[in-house]
Amino acid sequence: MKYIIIVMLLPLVFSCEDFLEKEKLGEETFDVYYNSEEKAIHSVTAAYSDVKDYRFGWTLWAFGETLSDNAVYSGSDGDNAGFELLKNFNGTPDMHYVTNKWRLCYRGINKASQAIEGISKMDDNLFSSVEVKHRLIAEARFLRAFFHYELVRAFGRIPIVDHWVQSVNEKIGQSEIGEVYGFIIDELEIAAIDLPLKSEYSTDNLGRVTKGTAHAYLAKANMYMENWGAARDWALEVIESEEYGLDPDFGHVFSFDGEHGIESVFEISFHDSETESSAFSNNGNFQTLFMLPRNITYGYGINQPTQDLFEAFEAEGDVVRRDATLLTTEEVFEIELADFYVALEAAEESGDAEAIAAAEAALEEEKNKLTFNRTGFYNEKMYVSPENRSSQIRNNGNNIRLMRYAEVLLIYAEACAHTNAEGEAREKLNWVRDRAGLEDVTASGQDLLESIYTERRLELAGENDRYHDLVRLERADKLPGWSESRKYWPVPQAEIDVTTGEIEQNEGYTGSN
Amino acid sequence: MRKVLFSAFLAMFFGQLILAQEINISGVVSDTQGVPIPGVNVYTKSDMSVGTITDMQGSYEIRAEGDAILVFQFVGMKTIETPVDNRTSINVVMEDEFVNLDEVVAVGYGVQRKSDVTGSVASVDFSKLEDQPVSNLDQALQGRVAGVQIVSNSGAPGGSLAVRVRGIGTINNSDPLYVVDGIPVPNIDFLNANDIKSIEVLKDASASAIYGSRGANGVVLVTTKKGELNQEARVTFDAYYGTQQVINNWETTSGSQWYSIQEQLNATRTSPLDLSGVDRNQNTDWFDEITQVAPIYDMNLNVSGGSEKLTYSLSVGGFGQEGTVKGSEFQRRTLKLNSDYKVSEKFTIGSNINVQTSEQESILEGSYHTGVINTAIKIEPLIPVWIDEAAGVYDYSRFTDYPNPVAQIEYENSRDEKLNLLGNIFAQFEFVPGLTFKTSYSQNSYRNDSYDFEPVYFVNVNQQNVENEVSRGYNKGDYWTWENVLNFQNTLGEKHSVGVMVGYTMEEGSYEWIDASKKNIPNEDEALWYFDAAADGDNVSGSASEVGLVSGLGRLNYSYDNKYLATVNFRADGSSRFPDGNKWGSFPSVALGWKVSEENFMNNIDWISSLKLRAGWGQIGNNNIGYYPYQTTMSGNAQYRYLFGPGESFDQGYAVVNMRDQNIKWETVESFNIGVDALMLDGRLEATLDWYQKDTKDMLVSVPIPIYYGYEGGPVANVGSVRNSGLELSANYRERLSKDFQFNVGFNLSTYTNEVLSLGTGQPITGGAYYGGSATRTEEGEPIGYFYGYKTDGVFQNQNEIDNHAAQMGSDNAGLEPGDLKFVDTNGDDVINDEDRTKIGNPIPDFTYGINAGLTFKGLQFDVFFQGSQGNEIFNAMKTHLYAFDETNKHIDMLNSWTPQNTNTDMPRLSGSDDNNTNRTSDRFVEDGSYIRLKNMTLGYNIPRRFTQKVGIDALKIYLSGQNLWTKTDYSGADPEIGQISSTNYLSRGVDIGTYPQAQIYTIGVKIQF
Repeated sequence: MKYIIIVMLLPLVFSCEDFLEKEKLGEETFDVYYNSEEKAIHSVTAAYSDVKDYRFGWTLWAFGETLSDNAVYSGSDGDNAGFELLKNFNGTPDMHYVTNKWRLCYRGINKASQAIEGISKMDDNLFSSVEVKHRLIAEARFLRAFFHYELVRAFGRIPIVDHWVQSVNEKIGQSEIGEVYGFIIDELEIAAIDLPLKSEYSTDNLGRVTKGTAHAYLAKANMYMENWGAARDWALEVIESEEYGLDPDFGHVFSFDGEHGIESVFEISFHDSETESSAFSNNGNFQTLFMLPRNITYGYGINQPTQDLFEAFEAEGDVVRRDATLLTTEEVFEIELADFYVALEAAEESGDAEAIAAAEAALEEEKNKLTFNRTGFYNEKMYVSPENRSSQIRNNGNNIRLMRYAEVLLIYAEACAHTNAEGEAREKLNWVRDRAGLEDVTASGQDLLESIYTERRLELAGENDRYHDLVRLERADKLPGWSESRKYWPVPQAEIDVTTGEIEQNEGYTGSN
Repeated sequence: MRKVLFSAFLAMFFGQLILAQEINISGVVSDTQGVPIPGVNVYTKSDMSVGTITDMQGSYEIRAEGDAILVFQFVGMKTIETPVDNRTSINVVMEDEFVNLDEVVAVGYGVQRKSDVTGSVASVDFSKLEDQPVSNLDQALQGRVAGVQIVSNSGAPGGSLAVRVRGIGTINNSDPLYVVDGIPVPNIDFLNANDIKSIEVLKDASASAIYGSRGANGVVLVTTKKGELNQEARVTFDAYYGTQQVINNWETTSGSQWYSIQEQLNATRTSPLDLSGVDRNQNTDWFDEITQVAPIYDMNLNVSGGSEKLTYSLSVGGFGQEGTVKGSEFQRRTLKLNSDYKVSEKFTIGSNINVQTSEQESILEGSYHTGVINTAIKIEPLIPVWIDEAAGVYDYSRFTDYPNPVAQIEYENSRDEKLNLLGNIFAQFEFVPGLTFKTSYSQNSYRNDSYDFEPVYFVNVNQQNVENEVSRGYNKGDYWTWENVLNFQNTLGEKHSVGVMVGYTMEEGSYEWIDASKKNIPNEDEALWYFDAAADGDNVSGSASEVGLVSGLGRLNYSYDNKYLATVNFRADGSSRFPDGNKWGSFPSVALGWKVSEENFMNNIDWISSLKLRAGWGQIGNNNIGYYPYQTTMSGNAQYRYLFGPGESFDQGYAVVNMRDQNIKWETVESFNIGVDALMLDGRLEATLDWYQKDTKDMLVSVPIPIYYGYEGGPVANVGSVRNSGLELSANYRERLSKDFQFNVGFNLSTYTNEVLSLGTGQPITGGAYYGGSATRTEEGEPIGYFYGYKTDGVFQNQNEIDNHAAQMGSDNAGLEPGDLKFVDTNGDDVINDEDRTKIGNPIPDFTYGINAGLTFKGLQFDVFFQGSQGNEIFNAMKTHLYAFDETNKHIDMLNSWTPQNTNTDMPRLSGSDDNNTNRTSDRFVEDGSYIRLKNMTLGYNIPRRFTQKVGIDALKIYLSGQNLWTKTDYSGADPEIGQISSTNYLSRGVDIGTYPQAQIYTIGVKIQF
């Protein structure tokens, strides 16, 4: 009998709640993941990864260049027509380009917030030094601000997501543009404190954001807000850090050798992998594929620079940057059809008229392959010559430059020009002009500002900044079809549909369209 | 203790050795009308071999011990046991055996008298079903229980079935909970039908609430056979053998018919098919080529019995079935031991051990591109199977890129081996009469091994493999259950009867799987189909999971004056599947019963023997939602890499990319049931009527989340709801017309109404993917997984009709010609586009039914069973190929296509360019799936005992049985029994992408009892 009683009481011994806690096997949960420095690094890596996503890269130039007077969409007739609505500022909220920009940036924000949250909770002792912990949080914080910056430039009013969203009940409405920039500036200021200088990173960490990166974006964000004093001060921080300099050879900046060079403040790293071919998970530069000349290479011939840009170089007598920025049709032939030119030369040397004719015909035939060449120019800053070109079409290894020292100097110059320091302004402007082989500017007042604006266009052509400048300087009305109410893209319809009122369509897209 | 057990075993083997004085006994056996009954078996209970049979006057004589117990047994009459008490003359009056009111039924953690049951519990006496030639126990239940709809997903040997108790409760897993002898198991595939005593289905919440968070989809309680105390060892041998033939009603074209259709299509094709390379007179029936007449067999040996203290039942069985489609096969061996031992008057221990091993070979099903049956239906008929059969060179489709299905079967070497162990030991102690405590520990373990080898082969460019590959899978699960139940049963005073059960249970499961493959075995000899022989291409994946459940449960039964009944069930489940705060859920139910027939005012109504009204309400849960639904996990996809440093090395990033709902909990079902049980005409007519409404609340639905949250996928959350309601009626009538002739007839009928009440903020869900798109849609206000597409309205007969029709070619109808299919502008906006898609059918039947009838004439037994489904539709996705204007095989309907000369037809003109997109998802492919089927017909003969006894056989029955002998349906596919595309593809119900058809089975069987 007593045994029976014991058996009956036995379950009580086991009835502890622990029995109901089952660890997830095979995969780590968020709660157990953050237990080593290495894994903390991996979580920040994930936040970086969205920057190299081809859909994110696509929106950089589609917005920064193609919408502006610098470029047309081009590509096949279908490609070109597909962008037509956006080019005419008649974009619709259901266009996947629009949705991709919104989606990719918020994915990056989410990953950055997770890293901040996860790493912050970690014990300092898990790190080789507490500085590493703070650096990783600062990197993630920078990236979160950076994605907000990309969003605010494209969409204007956006929701600020400053934490990891874990409940489906959370609603975050759009903030005014000023508030968004305010958030970005605050975050960058915090991040900058713990970020190391570029030189303080080991070479293994090349490509991570630095104190200079944060300061440069602080300068730029303040420039958009026309906080000229702050823009000047942050740009000066970069200049005075002596971490950066102008590469004497402008063309070299965009070469493989120039990657992460002296002028590099922030760039997207890519590499040429023979084994990765997926559009979504490769580490190569898909944008190069878009921009290589069509049918004479495997490229799509998209984002072609305009005659207008060519003329802007000509007007300034800017040969150095023109030649490093614009690849002409003739140059394309010379590079891509080098063998045929060699054959023609050989034929000409032999003097055999038939051979010359055959070689000329062969060359002509090859030239005719280049199609949908709408402007006669290609973006040389993204061009990869045949000997360096990846066999995997989406995997070219050339990096995309997001922020260069030259731009920091120009921001500084513009800020100085607005804050009664025209001498400083001219000095830094002329550093940039000198490198391009141009004469010093001596102007002042509005003329000085105009020189700086022109300099920005020529220096940064093909680097996805032109449309934002036109909007900022209220000069976008020169673009056909442009209207103030449509200077930003519409909020994706998918977002409007799935939210419950907290997200509103941008003004200009709410009407009958 | 050991000594006790030892002597118990001795007793078991040597029987009872104590002898008493033998005497001669005689008497007459008659029925209640005084008519003598000849042919009654009379024997002593202690030794069945001591026996005789009454003569034509109902008289018998027997010699037995003075303290023996005589047993009088006759089919259709209640068996009578009478102690001899040294009497020499014993006359017996036998009563018709109708429904035994005091029969007990399993209700979960205990049993209840059937007359006291207040919930909706269906009970199936399995003894009549065990001879059916089925590989899966569920199949034998098809059509037998009102409210339980069972549809085969595949007719393959060992193929899966979808069992739905009272409709489809959720868009997720709505499989019922199976409990075998008290042990929860994932399915009952592993059981041998011969070992089953009875099956109870707990249908409503008031019955199934005792299973708490697992009861929402109904509970199937299986009770296996046990020995009986004081019973001689009884040896039973059952065996049947039969052949199976595939059911195929497809009407596809012959080679020359196909050829002439293609010739006509070529006239309108931009690039005509080059038909010069094929012989129009070649005619290959691909379906025929992949099918065969296949054998099926079953053998089972059981020994059962018991002494004063020990009962035992041992059985061993073997079942085998080859598929009617070549390349599919299933074999199962089962071993079972059930034994109980009474250690003392108050203390009983016992065990129940089941071992099952099975092997299955299967063909590729469930793929709408290359499923073997799918391919055999759609590949063109004028390609021979072989180019050179002797050299093993297969021919191939000239016009499509679909594989040769015969070659597919040959190159497929997929094989599964399963081991299933189910063991239970228990101890039961009776403190005082009526108060017992039972503790029971069970373990259910399975080990599934899968083997595959894909050789190097070349049929043509579309069907080739350049590197051989060997694959191996391992999948294991271990689940233990510990139950502790205290039961109390007592009568207080004259009128109050109380039963109380309280229990505490713990359960824990752990699961693991590994899949591996390797490539390049230099020599394809079967002896080398192992990893060590393969050179490269290592690929391994695997994971594991665990689950724990702790429960407290209780039941209170109260009856007043045997007229008013009340049952209250309660269960609290704590589950590891849910986050803190939601770990515990409670599931109450209450049911009331009123035995109206016990009231005085019913005394005068003679034709009603018993009438009981029932009403019940309860809340139950469905926890079949994965093991870790709330835990956020870090993903390390290649997409989350980034490059740092000068070299070409990247760092792998990790992040949470799928949002989880931290508040996830079980799906809750709230159900209400009212019912009537009646017994009429002196018990000859038994009827049950039930009405239920079952609301699934908190159904898990994938929730769309704002993009700005930054996730790739949204969580599933408890936001949906579904309502099922229906009426269930079953009735059975038995009559004994004379001593030799009796019959029974019965039916059951269930109606179904299913409606999705809410998907939260979720969008409509598409499902039922087939070659041309998706056939089903699930949205608010409609049944789960209804068919969604365009409506058609015949063909345009003339240009005038085209001109006056809504624009179905974009902005106008310029491309249309007479003979083109007309789509309906359902929203009336004069344009036919996606917005005009609408409900075009429903796979859920209006009602399902079963009809059974049996008659016994002397030793002959004849039983028929019909089963049917009415009002359900089938989306015949194969017809989207057979009706297409392409190169695939064609339906003979295409011969009746519209031409200016043949206008009286619904088949559109043959249009090689088909600008009209004629074969988009539309009601053309929705067919009435109603059917009635002669599911089983059995003719058996019990050879009279007076013959068999001479050779020491107590009972001998031989029988002929036929399965699926006759079907009436308008469905034009192979067979109207279309379940889901696969067992986990819940929203593909009723979509036929080349379902493995059922077989017609003829068996001959024998049952011998010693």
